[in-house]
This record gives sequence, structure tokens and C-alpha cells, in this order.
Amino acid sequence: MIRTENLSKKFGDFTALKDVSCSIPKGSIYGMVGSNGAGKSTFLRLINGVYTPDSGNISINGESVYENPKIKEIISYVPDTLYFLPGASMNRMAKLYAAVYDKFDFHRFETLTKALELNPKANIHSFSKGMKRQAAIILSLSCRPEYLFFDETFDGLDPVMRNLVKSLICKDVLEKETTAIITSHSLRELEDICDQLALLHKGGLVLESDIENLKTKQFKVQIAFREEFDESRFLEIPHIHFRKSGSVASMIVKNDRESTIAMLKSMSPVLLDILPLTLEEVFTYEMETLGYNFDKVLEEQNEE
Amino acid sequence: MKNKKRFFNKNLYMEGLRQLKVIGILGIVINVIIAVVIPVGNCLSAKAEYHSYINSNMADQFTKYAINAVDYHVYYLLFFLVFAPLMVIILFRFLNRREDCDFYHSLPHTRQCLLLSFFAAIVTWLIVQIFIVTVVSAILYQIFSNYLVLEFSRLFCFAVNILVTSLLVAAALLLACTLSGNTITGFIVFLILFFTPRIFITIYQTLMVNQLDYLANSMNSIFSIKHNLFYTILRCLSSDYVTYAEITSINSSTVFTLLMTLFLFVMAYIFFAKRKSEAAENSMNNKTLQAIFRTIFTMLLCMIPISILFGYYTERNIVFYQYRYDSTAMMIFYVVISYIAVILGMFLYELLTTKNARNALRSLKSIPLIIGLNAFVFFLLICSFGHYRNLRLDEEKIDSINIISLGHIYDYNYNQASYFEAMMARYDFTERELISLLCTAFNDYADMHNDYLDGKRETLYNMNFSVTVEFHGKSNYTFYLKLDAKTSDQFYKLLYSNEEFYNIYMNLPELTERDNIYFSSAGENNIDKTFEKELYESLKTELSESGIHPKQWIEVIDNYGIGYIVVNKYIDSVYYELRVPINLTTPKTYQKLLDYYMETHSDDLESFLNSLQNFEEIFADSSHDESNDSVNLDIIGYDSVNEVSDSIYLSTAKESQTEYESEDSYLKKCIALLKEHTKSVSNMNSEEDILIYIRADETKYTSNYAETDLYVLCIPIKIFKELNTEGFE
Repeated sequence: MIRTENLSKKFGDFTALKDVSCSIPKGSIYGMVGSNGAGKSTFLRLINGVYTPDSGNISINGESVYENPKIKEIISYVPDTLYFLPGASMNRMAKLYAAVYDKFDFHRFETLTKALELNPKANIHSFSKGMKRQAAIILSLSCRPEYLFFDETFDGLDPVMRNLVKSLICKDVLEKETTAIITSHSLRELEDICDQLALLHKGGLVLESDIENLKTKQFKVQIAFREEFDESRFLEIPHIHFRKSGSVASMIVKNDRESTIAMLKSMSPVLLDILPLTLEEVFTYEMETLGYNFDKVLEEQNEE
Repeated sequence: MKNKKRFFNKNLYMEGLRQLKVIGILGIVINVIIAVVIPVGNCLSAKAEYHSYINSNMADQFTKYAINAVDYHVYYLLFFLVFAPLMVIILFRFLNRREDCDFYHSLPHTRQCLLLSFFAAIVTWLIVQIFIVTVVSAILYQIFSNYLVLEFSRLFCFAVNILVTSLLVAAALLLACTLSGNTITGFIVFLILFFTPRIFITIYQTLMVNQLDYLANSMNSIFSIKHNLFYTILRCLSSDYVTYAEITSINSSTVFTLLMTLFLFVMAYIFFAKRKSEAAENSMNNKTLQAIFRTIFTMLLCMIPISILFGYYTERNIVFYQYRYDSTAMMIFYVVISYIAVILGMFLYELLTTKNARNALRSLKSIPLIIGLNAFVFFLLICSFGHYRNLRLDEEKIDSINIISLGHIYDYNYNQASYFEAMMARYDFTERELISLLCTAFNDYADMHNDYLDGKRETLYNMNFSVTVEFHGKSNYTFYLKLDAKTSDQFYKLLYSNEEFYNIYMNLPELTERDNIYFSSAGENNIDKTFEKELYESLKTELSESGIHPKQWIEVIDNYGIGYIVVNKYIDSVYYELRVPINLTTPKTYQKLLDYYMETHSDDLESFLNSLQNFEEIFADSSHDESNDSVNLDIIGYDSVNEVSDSIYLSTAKESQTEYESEDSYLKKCIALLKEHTKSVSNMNSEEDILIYIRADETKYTSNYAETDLYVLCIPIKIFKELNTEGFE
């Protein structure tokens, strides 16, 4: 299990993370999304032992990570910006990994390399962006880690590769109880694979929940009445977004579905539709409540 | 498993070796090629010379080439100038890039383990490179030992010193990389770490010595430059008088350099362990370090105005100084300009390292600190100067002295060239009278300096003799002294009464295989090799057994005599020059040389007279012009006490013709005198005659044939004086 308590990290005057507390159970796939500069990569580097926190605690399997080779041995990390030795081939990188990770599995390395049709003798720097990312993933998975950290790893992968990588991760999670943390901008990718999702914004953990809970606890309501109405009619219903277009209003409700439906029905609407939200919509509306809304900016630009 | 990756990891070490494979192998290949080419070239050259000796039936006179471990292995400098720094840069360049740094810090090893394992890889490659190249060189010189002689122990000691120096450079560069986050800052920090202490020490020494010249050789404490192998090895390239023994033996310099390496490495270890991954691509690890190095750099620049102020302060009362036009304004001007340059320098340093103009402007806030440090440094200099100015020797506290040099300025950091001075420098004089004399001389000399600096006397120097002395007691000092005539007389008198002193001059050393010997004179330089050694042995015997007074001998030892023997004496991997004249102070050896001349130049008189005849005939030829045959005579004479006398040049060149026409012409007179009075050496009277070397160049126009003959003859002194229109002294 990975646990963080009040984790904070600053770079000069810039606060990258502030009081982030979370608990990631073993054998789960934890997705992390957030705006640009939210602190996702910083979070991964902290729990990977690359950075040391300014305050707070990190523990993996009950032990701290920083300068702890025993724990770092069971972690494999694929960063957003990849590193390879100058002029190295995949075979050369495999030697490097094998030198530092005791459990490096050459057989798996060869199998995956073959499966992904990469040339292990070619200079990695001649690979395309996607191929480099594949190479990094292969090397990471070949370390047989208990914890996998992927920072925007799916960017640059084609859909087929993405699915392949997802299945490999899921396989490890199912068979070996590997824990994976994946950060991404693409909620659609995380939706398919993650058990839990966390939302970071300006260094703070805004939202953390399992996927199912997220989808069921928030839903979209479209409602219309014969008479005129406005938002004040729905004060008793917890909602984070309200919009009226003509006589039909739509709002995002954050409440128990059944009780909300009952309350709305009691208002005798002429139209009542309950629609599920995609994760993207959940993300967007949550960010809106935090003031992260580019609609106004776009409107102003259009006016100009 | 628990500790395997805490401090050192074999796999990581192997990975380090792998990453350095290219530069490691390249280093071996390049240096092995050089290691093969040099001895092969030397061997071919020596072999060619040997064959020329065989062809001249002088095979037994061939001397093997003595190979100096340093001169013929200069390429070893590549190890610490090129390969060691490159290895550090290659293996630790990840510290300058964020993603590289994050990768290595994410590995399951502690930072200490990473540092130690990688540095061990660098040390391994350096040892392998130096060892292989040294073994190849040694094997080749052993194969060629018929022609070349190399002291292998010296070579291996030199190799060890090269390794130690390479480690010093590597440790300093590693510390610089650890403290900084980009290439420019790393380079600047390395320069500051490596050279700044030496620069500060040198400036300090220079400031002191400029005002108190008797301190010239005093700065030989632990901070002496000779203790740092890096400087000693580099200086050996540029100087003729270098302490080869320092760099071809394991000694205090090796230990000192190793200790410095250890210190730098421990600092690197500590800072590496604390280094944050996010420091990559920033100038320094943190603002404090950035400020420290900026301050050091700035203080270095501040030494310029501080030196100006120091010079002004110490010289302010000097009489000459006061007579000059008011220099205060100029001094203030120079100081102000210098400090403006300092501030600009500080600004540029910050701009270059942080690439941030705002930071550069903010750095100006540290000006008050710089001012304070300047005041502190200036105060320290003044106190130090005061200490040295007031330093006096108490003869009761001096146990012994060493005389390092006589008669000229001696730089202690260089080796003695003269054999005699080198041997004298090794001897500890304990005579109280001598110690008292020199202590008093020092105290008087120091008092004189004080008076001069206080404006109580106008000039310093009224001395004609200098000596550098090491005083040993509870404290050790080395001072350069100037002695007046009276004191120098007393000094020599005491020296001559010291048996060891004149033993050095009177007991010449035995010749060994490594020593080179040759005879030289103003004329004859090609005497038989065997006879050269016989001459030396004769001189050696005569000096030690004949009871010649050392003073008599030492007074003429720097003269040329009728010739002199030079021995390049090999001691502790250093060649010292031992130069001894052949003159009447050693009459047996003098006669031995004359006997040799009698034997080898028995026909010279007849040949010379023929040459004179030829000379006259050419002049008599009225149609003589420049294209005709010509004769030039170069006559060098030595008087009976073997001072180099004078030389006379006679020529049949056209410009001399008109003069020769006259009956009273100089040329006619000379020819006549030479014809009448020149004698062969066998008829020489040492009291009345002098030896003359005559070099006659004769050119035959018709055949364009030029011939040079050397005649060794003698002539009465008074005649020689007549020949020389200027007379001789």
C-alpha cells in the first residue's frame, strides 16, 4: 500500500503540492488527472523517492521511500520525459536495468520486445516518440516491480499499443497484485483501466474516489416546467452546475440518485431526464467549481 | 541485500566501467602508441650513434642514453589533463540534466552508493590505463637496454604520482559537478575550487616578498607549491631546474596530494548525498552555495585593489616615494577603477551562472559583505606583514643551517643545477660562529629594510654578495640575505675552515654509468673519450691528495682554464652539472693535458707556419679580390692563471688589404710576430708563455674547398699583448 500524509513540495516560491493525503491500496490501478502544473509528476517523483518532500510523509509497504533501496527495488517508474543512455540500444539499456534491478527478467524483455516488434540492437535515439515510449514501458515491465508508476505514458502511443499496454498492466495487477499509478490528461484512457481516480488542482487533491462512485454520485438532470423557473427552485438539491436554455434547464447534481429523482418528480416537471456523466464531464464540472473554466476566456476571445 | 546498495554495488560499478569503456580503451590505445614510438625512436637514434662509434673504432667509448623518466613520459600528463576529467564528465553528466538526474535518483541505490560505485569505476580505468602504458614502456626499455638506460623504479613512482594527480583532478571536478547544476557553473566552480587557493597563496607570498625580499624563499611551509603534484609536474615541463626527484619518488608531495584528493572526495560525498534531484539545470544546489562561490570569485578580483592599497600602505614612508609627485590621487583612481571592475565581475558571474538578470542585480546586495571581507583581508595582510617585518633571529634558538645557494638568487622550488651547491645545500652546518654571523647578518638586513620602509634610509642595497640560508631550530626559516664585503669575507673564512664544506669541492664524486662527461675549451673540443675520464680522475686525485687549499681552488672554480671538464652527475634521478677547470691550481692535471696536446698536436707548428705563409701570399697577390682564396685566423689565448684572455682575428678579406700594404700595418706586424714567436706546446714555459688555440679557415677558390684547422700552440705573454692592440687584462 502507498500512503501519503500532508505531502507538500515547493520549488522556490512555487508550491507544487500542498497537503496531499491519499491512500492507494495494493493491487489497484490508481488514475491521477489534473490541470497542467497541478502536481501530478511531482507527486510521482515524490513517491518514487526522486524528490524529498518539504513536509509530510510517504510510505510504501509501511516504509519510507527516499534513499531506501529495498523499497525502490520494487518500484518501476516511467517518467513523462524519458532517459536513455547516449547511443544506447534496447539491449544496452536492458543491461543497465539488469545491473540495478535484481529482478530484471530478460525473458520477459525479449518476449515483449518481439511482441512490439522493436529492434533491440538499434539505437533508441533513432526511434520515433511512440517507439521510445514502448521501449521504456518494456524495460519497466521487465523489472517485475510491485509498483508501477506511469507519467503520461499513453501519450504518443497508438490505440493498438495503448490497449496492449493496458492489458499488460491489468495482467500484472491481477496475477501479481501489482499496484499501478497512471497519470494522464486523457480521462477516456483512465476510465477503461483505473479503479480509482484522483483529481489534482494547483497542488491540492480535489477529488479522490473510485470510478463507479464518481459516475453514480454525479449525474446530469434535464428538466423543464410549464411555468417560468430559475435556479432558485432547486436550492434543496446539491448541484454544481446549472444552465438554462429556453425552457429547459440542465444541471449537474451531486447527490443520491433515487432521492433526487423523487424530489424532482414531486415538482411535476413536464420534462425530466436523468443522464449519466462521462469522466470528462465530471472532471470539467469539478474544475469549474474550482474556477478552472476557459469558457469565459474563449467567449472574450470570440468577442474580440 | 539490505546493505548491498547502500554504499557500494558491484553491478553499478560494472555499469560504470561499461559506460567508460570507449574513453578507457581510447586512452590505452593512444598512450600505448606513444609509449611504443618514443623508445623505438630513442633506440634507433642510440643505435645509429653506436654504429658510428664502431666505425670510428671507439665502440668502448659509447655511452648509453640515460632516459629520464619524466622527459620521455611527458604524455602521461594526458591522464590528468584529459582522461580523468573526461571520465568524470561522462559518468556524472546526468547531474546537469533534469530527466537524467531523476532517472539515476530513481534507481534502487542510495546516492552514496551511486557516487562510490561510479567513482570506483573511474579509478579502475585510470589504474588500468596507467599500468598498461607503464608496463609497455618498461618492457620496451628493457628490450632496448643495450642502448638505453632507464631507472624503472623511478618510472613506476612517476606513474603512481600521475595516478594520484589524476585522482586529485577527478575529485575536484566531481565536487564541482556535485555542487552545480549546469556545465558553465560546473566549470567555473571547478576552476575556483582547484586554482583559487593557490592564487590566494601566491598573491600573499608575492605581496610579502615584494616588500621584504629576504622572504623570497621563506614560503615553504605546507602551502608550498611543491607539495602539490599537479603544479610540480606541470612546472617540470617549462623549467630546466626541476625537482625530478619530487615527481619520480613517493614522498611528502604524494601524500599531501593524496590527502587533498581525499578531502575533496569526502566533500563531494557529503554534498552528493544531500543533493536534490531538482538542482539539475540550476546554477548551484542552493542559494547559499551560489552566494559562497560568487563571493570567492569576487574576492579573487578584489585582490587587485587590495594589492594596490597594501603596496601604498607599506611604501608610504619610503623616501623615494615621498619625492615622487603626489601618488595618492593615482592610487585612489586605480583602486576605484578596480572596484568598479570587481562589481562588474560579480554581476557577470551571477548573470552567467544563473542566466537571470534579476539574480544578477540582487547579487549587488552582497556588496557590504564584500567590503567587510576586503577590510578583513587587508587587516590580515597588514598583521602578517608586521609579523615578518619584526621577525628577528635568536641565534641561541638556531641549531643548524643549510646554505642553499651562494652568490645568486635561488628559487627553492627549482632544483639546483650546480652539483656543488646541491651537495652544500644538503649539509647541516652547526658551527656556532657561522650561525651567529648569519643570524646577525639577517637581523641587520631586516633592520635595514625596516629603516628603508620607515623612511630612515634612502636606499636598501649596498651589498655585493647574496646567500640563501635555511635556519633550523624550534622554528625553521629560509631567508635570502645580502652580505656586505666584510661579512662575506668572514662568511667565507668560516666556510673554508669547515672540513665538510671544502670536502664538497675538493672531493669530486666517482663517475657512474649514468653520468655523462665531456671536455670543452675555446678551441679543442674533440679529445679522446678515454682521456676525458683520465683527466677527470687525475683532477679528482690531485684535489683530494695534493693539499691544495680549498680557497685557492674555489676562487678559480668558475673560470674556464685552458679547458674544463663537465660532468652531468646523476643523483636521485636528477642531473647536476659539475664543472671543473683545468688550470695551474692543479698542476699535474694541467701538465697532463699539455702532454696530451703535445702528443696530438705535435705537427701543429709546422702546419701553422704554412698557414701563415699562405696568408702572406694571398695578401701579396695584387689582383686579390673577394673571389680568390682566403684565410681567416682566430687566435684565443689563455694566460698562466687561466683567465680567458682575449681573441685576435686576422683575415685576408679585401677590406684588410689596403692596410696590409703599409709596412707598419697591424696585420703585417701580427704575421711577423706570430712567425717569429709561436712555439709548439712541448716548448711551453708556464711562467712566461700562454697557450693559444688557433682556428684557421682556408678557402680555395678554384675548388671551392674550405678547410678548418685547429692548432694548439703557445706564445710568450708579452708578444700576445702586442698582438692584441687592446692589450689584455
